[in-house]
Amino acid sequence: MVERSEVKSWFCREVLPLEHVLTAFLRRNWRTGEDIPDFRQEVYARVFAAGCQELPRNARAFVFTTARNLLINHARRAAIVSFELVADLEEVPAPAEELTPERHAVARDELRHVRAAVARLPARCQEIVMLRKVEGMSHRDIAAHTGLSLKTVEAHLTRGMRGLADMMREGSEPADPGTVHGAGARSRGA
Amino acid sequence: MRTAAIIEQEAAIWLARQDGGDWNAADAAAFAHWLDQCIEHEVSFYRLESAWRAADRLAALRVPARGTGRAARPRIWWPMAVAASLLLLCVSAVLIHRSPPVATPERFATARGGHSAVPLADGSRIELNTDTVIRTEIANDRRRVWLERGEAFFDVAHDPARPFEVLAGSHRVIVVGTKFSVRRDGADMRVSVLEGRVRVEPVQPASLGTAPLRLLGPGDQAMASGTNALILPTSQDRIAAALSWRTGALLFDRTALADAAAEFNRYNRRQLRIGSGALDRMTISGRFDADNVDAFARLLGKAYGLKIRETADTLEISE
Repeated sequence: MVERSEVKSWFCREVLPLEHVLTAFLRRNWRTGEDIPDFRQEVYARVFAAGCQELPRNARAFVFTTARNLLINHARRAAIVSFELVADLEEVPAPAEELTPERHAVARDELRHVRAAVARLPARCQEIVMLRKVEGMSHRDIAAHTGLSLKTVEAHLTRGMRGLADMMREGSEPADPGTVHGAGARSRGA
Repeated sequence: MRTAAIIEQEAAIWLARQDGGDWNAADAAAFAHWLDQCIEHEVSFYRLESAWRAADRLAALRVPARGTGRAARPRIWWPMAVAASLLLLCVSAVLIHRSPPVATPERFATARGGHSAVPLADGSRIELNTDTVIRTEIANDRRRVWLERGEAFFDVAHDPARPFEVLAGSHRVIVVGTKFSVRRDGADMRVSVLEGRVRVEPVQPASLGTAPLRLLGPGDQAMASGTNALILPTSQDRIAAALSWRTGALLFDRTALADAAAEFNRYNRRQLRIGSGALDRMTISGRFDADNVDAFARLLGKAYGLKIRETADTLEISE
């Protein structure tokens, strides 16, 4: 067994940065886009569970093999994909070279990256995330400052958190988290 | 089946509550319970948390307050700054390989018990241990980091044209690309090298007759205090112990009890106090969670029959 904290830091360091490539891989190999977040989560959960037993030496290969097996199982179970399609399923994306420049570019330019992600949040949500992260205001101060209720501020923040995670990792449009559920998160900015 | 979106929303609510500051022991217990329910909860939460932490970089956009301590009115400049950043992102994609940014000083800090990773503009990465303050300045011709206090692990992107220097009190560490950590306790500093080679030298121009220290390689550790510097015999185990904080652990190998206590005290608000007497000669070996000083004290009590007196802020250990 591996220490939980160790698995967590490995997961954040080695696995999460692959999200961009993993999501693209899932998209290319599965016809319905709305299943992607569920698949991705299942890949993460399996990879994390395996990491708790033993940290895989090559995170990238492990993540994509897991993703591939998952897609094959689902395709078989759903019987919506012909066997040829399954057989055609892309091999694990080629290693390192493809990813390294991306990774470096992200690290090199993290601030710009975060700013661009924030810029794509809805206006009100963006404002509240900036008050929290740039000005370091507490949730209460933000509520007082904007005249919103504390609950609404928190709803905007949860939405911001989800949006940032999608955009910073994927670099693409997120599924609008506010429309799924979440009290108060539906109210868009003024 | 519970979908990712539903779990993610729950995770975001937990993260927002944690972020909110009214976090108490009951919340922590309820959260731990939620997190333990299934691995999907865990991965979903860590994913959000890691992005939310990364957004801390936005603090660099803050305009230093002039005169008054606090921003009294809303700032209107940053929505524009954010909009401009989209454009910048496109421009930077073109420029990124041509000109690295000019020196942009930044400051990063962790609280007691904190641990966070900071990516630098040059592709290097710094991991900050508990109660640590650093300043960074990444320029075209050199890269400098001041360790004001605490401890940090450096994973330096290789760039011979821009030496990377860590300044810690009286000494500096110079590298081109390697992995090492630097710890500073007031005037004392300690360097532990995991990979590559580093040079340690006094910050002041070498006084006459000061022989330069030999290059440090993997497994080497150097300690410096004032103008004195000492290189310890190469030992991978010692480096592993010195870097164990990166996984939230403390490794002790026949460490004096008082020193072990001092280590725990770096991470926890609740401070260990060791009574004098025979305990002075006692040594500890083992592996412990840095943030669980209570468990450490209980273990000492059980294993060695020591007495533990608890107050709100301290754990006093005596024979």
